[in-house]
Amino acid sequence: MNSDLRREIAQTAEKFAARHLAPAAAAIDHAAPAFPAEIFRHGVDAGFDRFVLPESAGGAGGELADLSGLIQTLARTCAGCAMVFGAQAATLHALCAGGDADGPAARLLAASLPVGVVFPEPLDADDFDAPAAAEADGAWRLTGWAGLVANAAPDGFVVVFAKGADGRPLALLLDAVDLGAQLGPPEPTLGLRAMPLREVTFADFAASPSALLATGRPATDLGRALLRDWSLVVAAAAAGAAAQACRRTYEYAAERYQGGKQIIDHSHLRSLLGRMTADAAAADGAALRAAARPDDLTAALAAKMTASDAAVRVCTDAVQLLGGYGYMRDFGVEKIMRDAAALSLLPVSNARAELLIAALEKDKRA
Amino acid sequence: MTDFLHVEIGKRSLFEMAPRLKVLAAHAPEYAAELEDWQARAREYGDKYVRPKALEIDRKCAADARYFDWDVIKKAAPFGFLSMLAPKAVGGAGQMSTAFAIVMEELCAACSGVANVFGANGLGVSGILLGMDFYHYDHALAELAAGEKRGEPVIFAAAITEPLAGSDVEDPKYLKTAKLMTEAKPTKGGYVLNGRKVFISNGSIAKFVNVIAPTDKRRPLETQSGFLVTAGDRGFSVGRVEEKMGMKACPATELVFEDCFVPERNVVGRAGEALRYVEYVLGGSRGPVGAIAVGTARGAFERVVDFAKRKKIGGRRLIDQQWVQIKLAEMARQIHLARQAYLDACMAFDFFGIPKLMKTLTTRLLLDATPSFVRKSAPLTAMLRSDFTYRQTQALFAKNIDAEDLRRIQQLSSLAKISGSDTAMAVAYDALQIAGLEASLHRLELEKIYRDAKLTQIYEGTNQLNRHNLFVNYFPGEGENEF
Repeated sequence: MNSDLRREIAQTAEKFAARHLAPAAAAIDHAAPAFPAEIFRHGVDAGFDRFVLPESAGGAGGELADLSGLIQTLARTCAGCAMVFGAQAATLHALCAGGDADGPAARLLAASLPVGVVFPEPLDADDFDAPAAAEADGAWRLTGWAGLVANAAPDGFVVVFAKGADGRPLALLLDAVDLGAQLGPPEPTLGLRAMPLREVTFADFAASPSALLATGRPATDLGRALLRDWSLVVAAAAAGAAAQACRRTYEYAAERYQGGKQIIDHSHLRSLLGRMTADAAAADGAALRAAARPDDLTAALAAKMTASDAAVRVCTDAVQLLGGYGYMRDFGVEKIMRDAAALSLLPVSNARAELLIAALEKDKRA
Repeated sequence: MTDFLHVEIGKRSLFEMAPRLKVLAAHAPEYAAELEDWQARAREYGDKYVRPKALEIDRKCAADARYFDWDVIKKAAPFGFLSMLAPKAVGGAGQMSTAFAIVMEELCAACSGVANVFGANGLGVSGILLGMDFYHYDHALAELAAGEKRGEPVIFAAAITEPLAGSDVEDPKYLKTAKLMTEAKPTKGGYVLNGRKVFISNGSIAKFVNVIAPTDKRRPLETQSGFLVTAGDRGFSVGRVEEKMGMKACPATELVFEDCFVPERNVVGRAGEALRYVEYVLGGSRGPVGAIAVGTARGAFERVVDFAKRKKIGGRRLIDQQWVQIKLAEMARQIHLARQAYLDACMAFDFFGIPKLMKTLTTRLLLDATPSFVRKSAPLTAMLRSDFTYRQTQALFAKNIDAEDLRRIQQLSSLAKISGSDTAMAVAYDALQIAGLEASLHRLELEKIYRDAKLTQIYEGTNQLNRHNLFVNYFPGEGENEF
């Protein structure tokens, strides 16, 4: 890993966050849910979306470890905004993995538009729950509830999974404009409000044949690749959120007095702060470890679980240590706590990730 | 997609939730029946009026922190929750902390934000009750009960926390070095209050606020008193209304005092003794806060059980999947144990704490057998506030209240508060995990409950402070030189 490059990436990310995220993060969190189109455009201009794509595909050729560092740095300012870029880069990376220069990732790159993913469950088998797809009149007709899409913009794209009449899984790339009423409005959520969730429900929707990304096992593999790459960026964002919560807590603990001394000098609170620091380090380590294993879904899921569980603990303790101030919007720590909890649910909840990890490990050993 | 707004959630009976109350029913059937009745009232109000509006209120408060839904509080008037702690002699229900806690659990299962309005009111009322000044009973508490009967809620609040002193003002050890801003300087006929209080639940909607302040902030341990301030008093104003993460339906506000004159008669309890009263109040209120937290946990539990019954993954309902069953069982275990903890605290307080004084012959003669107009008369008020009466009250206290019991109440109340609030957070988080990404949606309520739950670990003394309080009351004499 090139440490100079990582430092440069971190500096770029810090400057970007200070210029574009810091002034907008609180307002985005508080406003009616909507995709942050302007911030997304700035990120595209900075090349965040194609950061880990090969140069042959128009990308910067960065490694996943570098992407992890980038997202972690951005997440210190706003985990939701960081995830907008993380999700975009992860999706493009997974779509590009097939190596088709004229494939869907190339189309997406050319359009520079956001792309969201509806993750089917459970992904430990090919027979995941998904809307029904029937071939008719040269199109795929989709019916049923697909799930929630994260990172969908009104003018972007959505990756969805469906099941053919024979039970065969399908992966499709759909234009959000075409989806119309099938794509629900952005919904108010717990956290990561820069990346609103929308419900996707098909009512005999006709998808053109060109929307098809993969069928059969390759479709399941694509689902798993998306899950892997999203998990990597979730782990990175969680590590960033935990680091930021730690920083804010140490600042507060050094300036607040209780019982005639700084609260950082109370041994119980030192114990709490020490555990928070260790948890934040564990999140950072988990994110880095997984990024160094780009093809390992288990490692990515384990990292996402470890990092987001740690972030939830750290951020909840940060609110606790700040007391009433931590619970108020002004201080921003409550937002980090909500974001951390939302990260524990993306792309699947940590509780469900546990099941998936064990199933994957079982398959490996079979 | 499942949402819960129109779902009837199955509930269990009081005796199933707390088997000890079935035992109680064998010995004190009327009292047990009263507790059942309060639970039934709270369920009816919660199901009929609170749950259907909970999300809407949360959203409105998020858009404007000053929004307060008077309508939902007015709907509670026939149920009597605001005045349930006030003595029957002044129009209340004369209930104690156990009934109050049972009501709070039910209301919180519907919406802990709305419930907190009643909880914070109870905290304000408790301070007045424990002050045992019948003048305040016959004025402020009587107005509370009368207002409720008219359908015009009169709300109480307690103002303790300061901008630079949160836990400091709730612990005698820390109070002596607390950086206090609020002070009540003695003046002719009363006191002049200056300073600020922060994060005061019900602060912007309360008619009566029990403000805890020292008369000499360099000696808060010796000079802390309670001052009953009324909305509209000159020099008393509401500052900022905080934008909170959760429990938004109950406003938390800054209260500002600028040369606010408080007449002598509005001192709550004995001047200089507020520290003791605060301890008594918190000993009585932390049990119900445990109940608030248990109700919050139950809200998450009931909703996620319903979700698990409806949601299928891989062709099977979540509730049919073993990992979900084990998680739900663990949630049920935590909720059950935390409930027993708050019942321990509340019953200990009710039967061995200050409420015992309300049952002495002297108190009952004054409250139940003496007409209100006699009690309110100036000569009797003066007599009741005399040094002689104070000494008699102290003697009554010494005769009826065991110091060991008070210590145990402190232990149990902190234990209940910690157990309940940690359970609320753990259960709310596990509910998110079971429901998955959908849990993030506001309309599923689980995210709101997660936001609400966090406050229970912070207010009424942080859990750190309560653990410390538990320690010092569990190991008296130890830990004098802590680090």
